[in-house]
Amino acid sequence: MSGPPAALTEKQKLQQQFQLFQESLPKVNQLALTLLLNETIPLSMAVQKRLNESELSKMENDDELQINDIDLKDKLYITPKLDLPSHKLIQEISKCNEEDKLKVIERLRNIGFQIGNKMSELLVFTNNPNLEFKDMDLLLIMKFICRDVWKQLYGKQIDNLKTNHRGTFYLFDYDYKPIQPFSIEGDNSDEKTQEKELELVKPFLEIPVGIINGVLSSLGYNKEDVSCEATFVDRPDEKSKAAFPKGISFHVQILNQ
Amino acid sequence: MAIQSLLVINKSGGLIYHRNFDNDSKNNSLNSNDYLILASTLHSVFAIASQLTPKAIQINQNNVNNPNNLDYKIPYIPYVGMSTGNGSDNYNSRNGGDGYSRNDSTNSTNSSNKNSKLNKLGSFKGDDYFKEPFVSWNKSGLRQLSTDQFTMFIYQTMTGLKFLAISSSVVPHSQGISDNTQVPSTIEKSSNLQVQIADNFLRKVYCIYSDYVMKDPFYSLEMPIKSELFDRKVKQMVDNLL
Amino acid sequence: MAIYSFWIFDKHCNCIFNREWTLAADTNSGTMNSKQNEETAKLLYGMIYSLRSITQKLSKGSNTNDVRSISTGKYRVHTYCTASGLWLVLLTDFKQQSYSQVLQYIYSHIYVKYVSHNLLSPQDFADNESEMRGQGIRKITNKKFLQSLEAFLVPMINN
Repeated sequence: MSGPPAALTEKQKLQQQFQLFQESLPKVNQLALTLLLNETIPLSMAVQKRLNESELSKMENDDELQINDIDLKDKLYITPKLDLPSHKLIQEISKCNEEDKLKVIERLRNIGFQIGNKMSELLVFTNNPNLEFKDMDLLLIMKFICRDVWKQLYGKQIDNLKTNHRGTFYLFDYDYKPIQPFSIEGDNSDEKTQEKELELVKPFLEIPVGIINGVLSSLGYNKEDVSCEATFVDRPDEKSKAAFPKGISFHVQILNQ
Repeated sequence: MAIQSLLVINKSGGLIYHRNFDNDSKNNSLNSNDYLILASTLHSVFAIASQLTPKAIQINQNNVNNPNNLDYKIPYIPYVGMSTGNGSDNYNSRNGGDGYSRNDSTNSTNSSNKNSKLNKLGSFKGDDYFKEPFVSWNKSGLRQLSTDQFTMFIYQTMTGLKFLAISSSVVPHSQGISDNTQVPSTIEKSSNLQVQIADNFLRKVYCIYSDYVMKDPFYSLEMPIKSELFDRKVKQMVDNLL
Repeated sequence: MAIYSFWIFDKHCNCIFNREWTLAADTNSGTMNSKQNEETAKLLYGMIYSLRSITQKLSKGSNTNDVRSISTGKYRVHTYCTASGLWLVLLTDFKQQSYSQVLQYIYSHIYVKYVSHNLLSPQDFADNESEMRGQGIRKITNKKFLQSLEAFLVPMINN
C-alpha cells in the first residue's frame, strides 16, 4: 500500500471518514432483516386477535364459572398456545372486519414509523458527505429516502422519483425486495386469484409507508402533515415471470406547505 | 471395486449366505438377525419397485418398435474376478498353490486342470465361466443401491435367487450444474460399466454356486449354505477383484 | 438421460408435491399433484424408507449413510434428504448415476425461495393432527414454484 496522497481535499477526507465509519458498523444479514420485517405483518394480526380475545373475556367477567373454565384451559398448556402459522394470519387480515384491519395497518405503520425515525438519525449523524439538507429542502429529503434509506434497508435504491414540485411525490420501486418470492397457493392465472394475491400482499407495504413517514417526521415534517399511500403499479418493462407481477408506487403528499 | 460383503437371498426372501470380507471390526455391529431383516426387506422392495414403473416407460413398452425400448443385455467383460495375467507364479505366490489343486480334485473340471490353464480360476472347462453377453433377468427389481458410503449391486437369477454384493465404491457427485446439468458422458459410461462388472461378477458367483452348492449332495434347497468350497472360491474371486 | 417424475415428501410422510411426465415429446403431458398418484407416492415413500433404514444400519462410524440412488432395470430413483426432514425424489432412466446436484439446486433455489420465503404459502403443509400422521392432502400449488421447477426440469425430460 502506498501512503495517502499528500493533499486530500476536505470532502475526500470526510468521504474517507464516512467509509471507515460504515465499515465499523455491525452488519446485519439482508435475509434475516427481510424475514424479520416480513414476520411483523402476521405478528400484527396475531396481536390484534389476542387483544380481541382478552376484550371478549373481560366482557364475560360477570360470569365467574366461565372464567374458571378459561383459566383451566390455559393451565392445561405448559407453554402458552402458539399463534396460527403466518400464512393463515395473513389471510385473516384480508378477512377480518374493517375496524380490525385498520388497527392492524396502524400498528404496522407505527412499527415502520419507529424504524424510519431512528434510521434517519443514524444516517444523518454519520456525517455522510453526500448528504446536504440545505434549508431542509423537501426534494433533497425525498432523494435521501430514495437513495440512502432504501439502500440501507433493501440494498437497492428507489427506481424512479416523480414530483410536481408542490409537495406531491411518487416513489417507484419496481421490484420491492421483500415481496419478490411471494406467490399465492393455487392457480393464479385468472384475475380473481391475482386480485386476491395483491390484497394479501398489500399489508406488507405498510412497513415502508411507515418508514417514509418516520424519516419525514424526524426531519421536520409532522406525521399529521404527511400522507403516504402505497399502490401497485405495472412495470414499465416486462420482467421475468419469476418475479412478483407488480411494482410498487409510494404516493407522498405534504400538506400545509 | 472392493467387495465388502456378499449375501445370497433365496426366492422366498430368506438369507442363505452371508460373508464379510473386510476385517474391519466396526462393521460387525450388526447381528445375524439384522441381516435376516435386511434380506427380507430387500426382498419386499423388489415387489414394490416393479409397481413404481413410471407411466412413460409403461407407454413405451407397448410400442414394440420403439428404439428407446430397454435393452437388458449385459456385455461380457473378460475375466472379472479371475486371476489376472497369465503368469502362474503370480497366482501361486498369492494363494499358496496347493490349496487350489485340492479344490479341483473335488470339482467337475478335474480332467482339465493339468493343462496350462490350471492357474486360472475358471471352470466349466474353460478359463472363464462364460464368454458371451447375457440377458439380465432382473428387469423390474432392484439392481443397484448407492449411498454415501457404499454401493450395493444385486443380481437376480431366473429362479428368483438374489446375489448381493456390497462394494465400497461410491458414485461421484456429478460436477457443475450451471448449464442444466450436462454431465460429461464419461461419468455416465463409467458408472454403467460398474453395474456391468458387478453383474458379470455376481453371475460368476452364481456359476460357483451352481458348481459347488447345487452339486453338493448334502445341501438341501433354500437352506443356509455351509459349503467350505463355495466359501473359498468366493473368497478367491473377491480377492482377485481387488 | 431422461426424467420421468418428481416428488417431494415432507417430514410428516406426506407427499406435498408430485409431477409425472408421460410423453417425452410433449413437455406438458402427464399429471401434476394428481389424486391417482397417491398410492404410488405411498409405495415410493415406503420403498425409500425401508432402504434408508437398512443403509443406516449398515453405515460405519457416526456419519449418516443416506440413500443416494436406487436403480432397477427400468428406471432409477434419486433421493435427496434434507436435515429438516424433506425428501426430494426424482425418477429417471437408469443411465445417469447422480442427480444429487439437480436435487440440491431444486431445494436451494426453488423450494427455499418460493415455499420457505413465501409468506403466503404454508411452512408446514400438515394442518391438523391427522395430517401430521401421513394423512395429508395439501400440495404445493403456488405458481412461481411450479413455473420455475418446470423451467428447470423440462430441458432434462428428453435428452
